[in-house]
Amino acid sequence: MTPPRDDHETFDELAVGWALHALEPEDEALFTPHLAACPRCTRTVAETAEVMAALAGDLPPAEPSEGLRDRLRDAVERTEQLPPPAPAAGAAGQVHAEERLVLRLERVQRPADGELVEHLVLPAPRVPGRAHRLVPSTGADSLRPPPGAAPPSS
Amino acid sequence: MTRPARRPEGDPGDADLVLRVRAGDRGAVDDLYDRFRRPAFALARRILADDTLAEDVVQDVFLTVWRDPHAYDRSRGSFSSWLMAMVHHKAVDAVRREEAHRRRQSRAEDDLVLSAPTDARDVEDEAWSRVVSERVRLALGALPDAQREALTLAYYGGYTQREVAALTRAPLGTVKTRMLAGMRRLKEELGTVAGASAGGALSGPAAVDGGAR
Repeated sequence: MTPPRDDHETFDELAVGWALHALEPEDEALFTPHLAACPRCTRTVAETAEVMAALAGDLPPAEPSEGLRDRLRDAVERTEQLPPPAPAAGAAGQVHAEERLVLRLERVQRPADGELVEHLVLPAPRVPGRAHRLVPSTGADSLRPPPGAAPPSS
Repeated sequence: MTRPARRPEGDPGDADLVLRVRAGDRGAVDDLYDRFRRPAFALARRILADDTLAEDVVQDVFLTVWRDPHAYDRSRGSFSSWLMAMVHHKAVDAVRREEAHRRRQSRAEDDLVLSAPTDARDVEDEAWSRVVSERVRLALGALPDAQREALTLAYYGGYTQREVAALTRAPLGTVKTRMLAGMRRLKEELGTVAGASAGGALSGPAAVDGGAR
């Protein structure tokens, strides 16, 4: 699916900008669906991320506070994991089927009367195209909205 | 506790830790934290210039790895580079939220100064860190000024390409070209320090076309 090299230079540039999280919204809308279908750009993003990580090696060393470790432990303790991604198709799915079907019961306080009620939590559905989302979301705050809300053309 | 030295090809220890996280082992997050908290915090702090916000980002990153350990796969390059890219991404999001109501101009001037090759700083007294640090400094120093400026503003400053264009008084298209050309050059200069991924636009025969250098 890779376009001829001359045409692809534009996407090469966008891949670097995408890895740097520096694209304008319109470029991101153009590039994100392309990335999902382009192995070359996937590699370019990986290469760029590795150069970026090397650049981080030149920063003055810094140590977070001891309290951060405790806060992280607490947060991990309270947080359930997402189920593994559904396989593309077919029989391989059996391995994780059980895990995927696990539903969680959460006790929540009913706002009306304050009574504790059980609330069924469905596993989050797998999002198509997530394979190329660099940063998985932990909540609405860090969610990178699909640019232009356009689903990858496929 | 000594920190395991990070190696460019993706430490096998990292892969084990990811597998343990996937298996639901909460202790593995602790081990990942031990391994990566310092570079992660250093990067977030550099971008945010605020220790509290930087710690929030670091916590968010490790919690994200715990919550969705399947988000990483080897097509993204090494685990460490993927993790640091997530630190970068979330820190840039945070700085954009934080500075939405402020002028970024004064900080931008600092960032331009910082984009110049630096003198030796305090480096960890760990051999690998010194090697990386030295290689990075040399590689950045080898870039044409305009390419170094564009990349450091985006990477350390969290600026978008349009903001970089405005700050450096260059057309947007030129900034895009400079970032690609600069990354190609950095990858070449850094060699194995920049990781083992290959076959993309930064390496191979494609890197010589288009007069991008």
